[in-house]
Amino acid sequence: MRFFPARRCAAIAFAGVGFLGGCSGETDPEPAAVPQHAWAPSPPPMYDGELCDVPEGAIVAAPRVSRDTGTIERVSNGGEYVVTCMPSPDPIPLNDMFTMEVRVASADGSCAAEDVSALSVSAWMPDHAHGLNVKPRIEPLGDGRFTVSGMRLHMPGYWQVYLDAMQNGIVERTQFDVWFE
Amino acid sequence: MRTLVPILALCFAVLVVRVGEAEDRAYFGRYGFSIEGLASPVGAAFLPDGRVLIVSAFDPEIRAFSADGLVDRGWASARVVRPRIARAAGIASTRTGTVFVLDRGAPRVLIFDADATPLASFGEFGWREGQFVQPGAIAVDDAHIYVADTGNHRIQIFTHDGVFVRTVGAYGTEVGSFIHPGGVALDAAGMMYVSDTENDRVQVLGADGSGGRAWGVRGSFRGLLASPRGIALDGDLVLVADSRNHRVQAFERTGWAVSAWGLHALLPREGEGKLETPVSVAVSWDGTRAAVCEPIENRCQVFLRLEPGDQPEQREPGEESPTTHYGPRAAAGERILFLTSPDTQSIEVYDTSRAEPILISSFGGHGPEYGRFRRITGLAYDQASRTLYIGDGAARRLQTFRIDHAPGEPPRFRPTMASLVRAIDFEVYQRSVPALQGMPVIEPGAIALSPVGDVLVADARSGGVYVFDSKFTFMHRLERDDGEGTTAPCVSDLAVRESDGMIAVVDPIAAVVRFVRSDGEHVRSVSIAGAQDGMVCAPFGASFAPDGSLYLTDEAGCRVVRVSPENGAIGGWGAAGQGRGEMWRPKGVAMDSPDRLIVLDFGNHRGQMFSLDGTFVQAFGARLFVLPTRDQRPIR
Repeated sequence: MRFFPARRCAAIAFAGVGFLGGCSGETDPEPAAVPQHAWAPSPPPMYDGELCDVPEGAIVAAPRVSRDTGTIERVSNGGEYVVTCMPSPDPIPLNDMFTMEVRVASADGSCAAEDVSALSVSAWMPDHAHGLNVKPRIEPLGDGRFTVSGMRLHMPGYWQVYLDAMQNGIVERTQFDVWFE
Repeated sequence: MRTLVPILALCFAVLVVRVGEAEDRAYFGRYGFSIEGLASPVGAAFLPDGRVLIVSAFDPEIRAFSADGLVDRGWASARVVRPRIARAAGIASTRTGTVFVLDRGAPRVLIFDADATPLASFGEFGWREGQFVQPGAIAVDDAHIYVADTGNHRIQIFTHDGVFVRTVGAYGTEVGSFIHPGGVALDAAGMMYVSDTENDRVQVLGADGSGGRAWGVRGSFRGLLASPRGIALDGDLVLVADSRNHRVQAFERTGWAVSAWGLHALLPREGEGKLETPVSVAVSWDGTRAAVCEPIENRCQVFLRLEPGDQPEQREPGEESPTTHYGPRAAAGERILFLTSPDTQSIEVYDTSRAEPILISSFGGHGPEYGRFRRITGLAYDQASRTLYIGDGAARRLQTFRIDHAPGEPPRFRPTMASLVRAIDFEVYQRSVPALQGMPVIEPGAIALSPVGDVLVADARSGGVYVFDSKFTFMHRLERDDGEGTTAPCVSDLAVRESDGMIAVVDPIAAVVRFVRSDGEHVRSVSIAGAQDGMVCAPFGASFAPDGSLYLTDEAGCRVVRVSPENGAIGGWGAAGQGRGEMWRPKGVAMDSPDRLIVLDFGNHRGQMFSLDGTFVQAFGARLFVLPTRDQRPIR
């Protein structure tokens, strides 16, 4: 089972906006709007509890996905970070192991993401009230980059994948959604 | 196949032997009798002659009962214990009749001889060796005293003279570490059996902490545990008060579960074998009786050995709790109410805009991951940003969730309503804040929000109140500065007045509300008297009303008290019971509109709504517990 193309009724949903690039000298020519206040509410979750067919070609929620590269990009729920995630294999397989290359960048472009000392990764099925049956391994690579391995979304349905970045004891969550029909 | 047959035969033989062992043993589980009318009993100890001594959280005296449960006035119940026990936590006795009482409110151990004559006391509040923070249980052997120093996540060992010997353990999840150990017992070989409450397991260690092993994970199936508290040895078995599973489990010393008894009540105050959150278990010296204390029900039940044909009433594996449980905390916004479920450690979200609250979301659950909780200890809601603050003292975290529900929105259940925004991991956070370095790690309890967006967090260990700005930058700490008093600093709840930022700090042990300005200046302390002369008052929850007065719940007096920072106590309502306006161990209190107060009627497994003058509006929660408010007749 695969998500994307949408004919299979499985998709990643992205609720936030962000920018590609980061601290290595690559800059986004038109950075997306950055929340001015850390507590500004982020866009509401797309999922409304009704699992439905996803029309062909439709992306369930907002955009910022590169179908070519499979890059997932989101602003964290508190607006502090832009998190870029590249799953492999891409698309994320159902009930099979996959890895993710994760990069955490400061949303204000100050490149402070190297201070992100730890990343926790988990996933949750809100409809079933359970999470993963595996424990992902996270390897810090420095400069806000992490390799996450040992991930497996073992059931069809709606998943939320959580990336929790810690900086000086304060953790901020970034999340994206995955549907498997 | 030839090798498989003998293996299967061997397994069968082992199984038969185990079943045979089980049938040969006479486990506890037969209901004997109840000792009722106590004031939140937390510990029982048998004397060699069969009498049982009971200490209660809301009773400064030690009560003695005969072997058949009749009041015995021959022991300390006829005397006044001086100094009074501020808030008892446990009791233990030796085979010679020496009695040791653990006081949590003024942390110390009191020692009495067999004639109830006070011999000595030792201990004080603190983090150093020989000091205690919210100690939770005590055990003794012929040479030593073992104190579950719950708030310090360790076991402390003393001689019978009170001389400190050593500590075992520290905060953590590894074997040899504890999170809020809530029970300790010794065997004849000197091994310690510790109920590692928030790790949901039992640990077995040598008295020096060596050779540790553990069993148990959280769950409700046989052999699993949910917040184990009291622990006792019954011959070669280990009895564990499996508090959140509302039962007592018996384990072999290897951790093999062999028996269990207890089942949550279906009706208010139902007992006779039914158990509600048992916190301690004690076995008589002759091994014929086991006393189980249930503070919520104000009683201890005494159980006997099963006789042939007896089947202890117990919950079957996987069977859910038969009634709604609300935890002690509540928070509200505009027609939205947040309650906790202590069994699952989840947050329940109710829309309160209709005639009855409607459950519209549930999130969280027990677990170590971010977004989940070990034990929810504080709640506060900011309506403007729709942000819910959740304290987790056991995980040493504060987490914030965005709630995607607007006032007036049609109520519809959505499991994705809450999204975790941030979490403070205080153990790591404090290392990066110079002003907090070297201080005990904050274990958040009560939380409140100021009108300017500051976050106030009461530290469940030190009783201090830490103030952070909205981005979690540490600002300052509010200290208790009213002469300190004789009791340990303790904060059960915080509230902030919208009009001027006045902070109310509720101290349940001293039965005082301290009013403090936002800059930390102490304005006045208001002492809350008991509901009747001589009765203990135990304020718990607090919420300011728009008129500037403070509404408090009194756990011990089963009432709501109204207090003015300017004029002291100015009224209240409530009594113990199940009818309209009657309560049983009320805890959290919140306002979901300017004219409506929601009181968490904790012991009745329900909430009650009142107008601000105390007029009953409605009750909600477990059906059979709400029923008495509808027909005005107690159900029993």
